[in-house]
Amino acid sequence: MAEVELKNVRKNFLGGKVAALRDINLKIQDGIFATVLGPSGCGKTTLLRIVAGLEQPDTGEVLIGGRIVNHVPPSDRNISMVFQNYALYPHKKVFENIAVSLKLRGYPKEEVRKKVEEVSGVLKIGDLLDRYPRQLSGGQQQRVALARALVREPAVFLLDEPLSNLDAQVRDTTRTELKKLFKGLKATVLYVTHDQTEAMMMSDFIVIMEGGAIRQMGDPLAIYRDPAHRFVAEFVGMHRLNIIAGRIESRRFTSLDGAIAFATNLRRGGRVLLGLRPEHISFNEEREVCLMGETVLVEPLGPTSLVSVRVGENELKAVSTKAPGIQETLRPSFAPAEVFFFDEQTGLRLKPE
Amino acid sequence: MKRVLLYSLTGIVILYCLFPFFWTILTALKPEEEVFRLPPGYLPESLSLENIRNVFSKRPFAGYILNSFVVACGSTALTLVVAALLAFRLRAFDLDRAMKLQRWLLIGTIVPPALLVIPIFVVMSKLGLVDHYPGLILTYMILNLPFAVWMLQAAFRQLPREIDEAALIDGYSSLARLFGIFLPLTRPAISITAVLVFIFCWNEFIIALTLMPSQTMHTVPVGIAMLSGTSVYEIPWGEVNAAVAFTTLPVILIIALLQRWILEGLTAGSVKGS
Repeated sequence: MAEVELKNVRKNFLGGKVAALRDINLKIQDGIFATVLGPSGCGKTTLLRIVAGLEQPDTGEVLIGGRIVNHVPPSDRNISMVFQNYALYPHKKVFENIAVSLKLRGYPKEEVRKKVEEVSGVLKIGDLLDRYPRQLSGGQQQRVALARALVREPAVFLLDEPLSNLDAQVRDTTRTELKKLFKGLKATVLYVTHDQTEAMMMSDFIVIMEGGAIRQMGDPLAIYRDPAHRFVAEFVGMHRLNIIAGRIESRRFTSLDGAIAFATNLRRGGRVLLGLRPEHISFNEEREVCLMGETVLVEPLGPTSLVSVRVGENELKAVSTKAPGIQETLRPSFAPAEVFFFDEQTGLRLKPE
Repeated sequence: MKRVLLYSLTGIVILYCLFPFFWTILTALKPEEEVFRLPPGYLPESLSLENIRNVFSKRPFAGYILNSFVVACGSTALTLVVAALLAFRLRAFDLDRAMKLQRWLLIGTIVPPALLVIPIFVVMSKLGLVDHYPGLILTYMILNLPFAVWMLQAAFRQLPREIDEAALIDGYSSLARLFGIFLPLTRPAISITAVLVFIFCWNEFIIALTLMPSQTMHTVPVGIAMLSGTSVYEIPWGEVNAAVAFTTLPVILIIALLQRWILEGLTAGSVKGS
């Protein structure tokens, strides 16, 4: 087991025209399940590939277990990787797919067999060892890819969106199994995904990236409660954040259309963006700030519904336990303590001093 | 209606393509007096194996076939190995750079082989390789290399990058990746390349004639051209046709043998969505 550290890592593509990573500094503690979360093109896969050694950083250092590995080939970094499309060897049977890395490292035959059987038992693919990858379902192929990574017992596991090619049901069960599996292994895991639900549910530590830079990192719940940037607040959370443009004057926020107004202890004046989570808007109990609006759309989610309410010129999404009718007049309310303010230009979170 | 038309057109094309071959076989099986009869009869009245027997007994035709086989197989194998190594290296470059390098390779194919006969002969005689298998094998390899590199490099590029990377992480060496991952997964492309290179070597005439001047070293096409009757005016058509029929056979056999590989889609199931 080992910790992973990136120091001032930069990476450009196409002769410097595209910056994939801009000065990344990151330390993942030993035995942590860390997730790199971000939209496509944010550089998260590049980061993972640099740790794997499939890509060289332009500048900066990559450390695995305290050792600088910039010039160490992937096979000697004591890592293993699960690819988004699994990348199984199509011409080898499942057993060979799993066993090959051990064989190439000169393990004796009986030990290879023992280890492969052990791993395939854990992943419940023991009866598939004689098949070819093309004879397996997507979920089974994914397990084989996992088994291939697990069998070597590396210090660090690198997983590149391993669940994104599975259909929804298999994905849910596999997600739970993966979390259990890696909890049991106490391994350092670097997991890349664009799915914030996955990141929230599985990780001990989340790194949120945008445009090749780290926007925020930390404990999943801390990030949810205390986002440092508008992008983070919008990206993390079950439902999309409501953003309302407005201004603050003499410690009072007023939306541009004037429909939402409340007192705040934010010192700053001028134009700001208000962020309000749908789950923080209530219809049942009255919070400090009460609004009046008309239902535009109701999206049932099962136990709750996502209700869109038109308040002034803004449309607010709110989570409601009841499903109101369309064009019904509602009185959503929220507590000022639960809202976020962001700088309109930079998107940085504004906090009361 | 459309279907009937399609089938009859296909039939005509097939007949047109296969007729010379049928004619060759029929002529080979006719006794000599029937071959030269006027007007010519299409189907032989009596079958005879005399022509075939003559080709093998009166002339060293078995030796020609052996020569051709050694040369064609040797150069096909050598071409594939060298081309695979080159294409594997080219794949490590980005596409732009690889294409630039490959265009240089094409220059070799612009020059007609006949133009190269004299320089090649000079080089090979200096090397002492005239009338030896390696001389002809090397020459064929060099002539076929540009084509083979293009084919293999295109096939290698189509392999999912992740499979290669998974192999890197698993600890494959470069050569092990080429022979253990790349070649087995590009079998269709390799088979096609092998067939085409083999056919080229099997049929090539002018270089074989120049580099293998002594009769024992003739390849089949040269051997057939050298078949002659007792006088300049007598061409033993029956024997020529028997020889031609026999030399076409290996090519057909090889294509039949490799057909399974050419047609199979081997990467199915490796990467999701392929």
